[in-house]
Amino acid sequence: MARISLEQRRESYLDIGCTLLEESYHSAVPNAGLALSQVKLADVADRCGVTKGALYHLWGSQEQYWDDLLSYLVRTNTLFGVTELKAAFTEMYQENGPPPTVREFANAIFDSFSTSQAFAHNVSLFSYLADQEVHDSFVTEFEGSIALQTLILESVISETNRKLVEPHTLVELIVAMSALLQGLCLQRRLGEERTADLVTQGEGRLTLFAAGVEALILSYTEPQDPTANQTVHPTDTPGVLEVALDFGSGEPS
Amino acid sequence: MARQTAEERKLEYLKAGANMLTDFSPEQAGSLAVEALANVKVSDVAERAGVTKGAVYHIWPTQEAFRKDLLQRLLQQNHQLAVSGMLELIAAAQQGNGDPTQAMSQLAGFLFDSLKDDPAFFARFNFYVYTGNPEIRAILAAEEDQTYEDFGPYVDLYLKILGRRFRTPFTTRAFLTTTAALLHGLCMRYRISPELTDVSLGAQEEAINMYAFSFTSILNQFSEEIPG
Repeated sequence: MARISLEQRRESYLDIGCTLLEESYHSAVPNAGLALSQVKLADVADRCGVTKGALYHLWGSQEQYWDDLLSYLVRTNTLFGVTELKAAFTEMYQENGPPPTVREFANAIFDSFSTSQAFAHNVSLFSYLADQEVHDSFVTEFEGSIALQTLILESVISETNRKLVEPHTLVELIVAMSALLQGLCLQRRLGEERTADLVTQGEGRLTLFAAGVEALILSYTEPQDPTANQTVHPTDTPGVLEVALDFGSGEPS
Repeated sequence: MARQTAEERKLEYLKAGANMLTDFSPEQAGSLAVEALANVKVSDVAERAGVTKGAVYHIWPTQEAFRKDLLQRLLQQNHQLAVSGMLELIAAAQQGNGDPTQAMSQLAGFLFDSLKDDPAFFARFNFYVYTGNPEIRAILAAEEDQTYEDFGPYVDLYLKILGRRFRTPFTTRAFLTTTAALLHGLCMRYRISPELTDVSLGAQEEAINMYAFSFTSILNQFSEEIPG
């Protein structure tokens, strides 16, 4: 057998690493050694100013602590969840000023999510999707989010005299918007400058998220009255969606 | 202070653990193992390769060094796939084969279809937990920058073929960041609820997936026709 070069061996070991990873990805057994493994009992004890013994008194082993930590994260999993969306919403309606526009609202949602601790926790749960409990918590949490966003988008669409383009559904639009939000929050974790505002000054502030949301709404919807159908020229974007989002009571139920 | 119950203490320790996932002190950075790949062990790699652990450690001094290379390898794989797909479509568009207005949407559709089930692509999301660590952040950021360098010129070229350009305040970079974010988000959602994201839109022959549709929407909104 010809001698294999160091470089070739290096490559083949990396190949195997990829294969092993793939196998673990398809495995139904959640691996507590994934994202949580950096959380060592000794460090937790340190952080809390207690002895390791105090923690071992509650959990028999490091693994048991990880199991509980995972459940804790599942219980507190609130990304795209209603809690934060509602918080952003309530905040915008607190002042007695005019209701926000789509753009202002989207800007506020991005600010709220991208800096939220809950978002970071949510990301760490992604390693554990094979766990049914984790998976179900993501599904439930997103259902709540769809319900809330449906109310908001219905209002946007009717206020702008638009309707959904056949055969699109509101859920599709919400899925796309949520995906965009999640992806941009990940980008922001790599560095704030990566999701720098397109327009920074005051009223006209435009985040990447708001720009994407406007683009998506304009593609998924069309004017109610086809005869008035001026194909939305790109440069008209702000004007078309510049409606105040007034929900009357000030909060969706 | 009232004495805490065991239950209260337990909760406190869990909270501390949860916060440690995200707070990352710079002092820790140096010593951090790339733990997100913790289920890939050097000993397993050696066993699978039919060599001793020593043979693998001969190449990488530590398990962490191996995992770091593995992360880079994973990121590269997806990247090459995307680049070669892009080059083919651009070539076809330049030769006048196929409808150039469809080329970008086809590429986007192809990317989502090939990446949504790809473990190597998905593996990257495990690392975002560790973005408090400058080293991990740098590896992930370098990949994003590479995407921008590789695709930016083609996106510009493609728009030019269509007689369009990005309009103020949009830039090639803003467009690529937005659409990369959308791709990541949709792939993550696909893993949770495939039925919500694996939607094909349009008539059968021209049906495109959700990413392709959204990608094209954003491209159209961020750009304008070149006047004259």
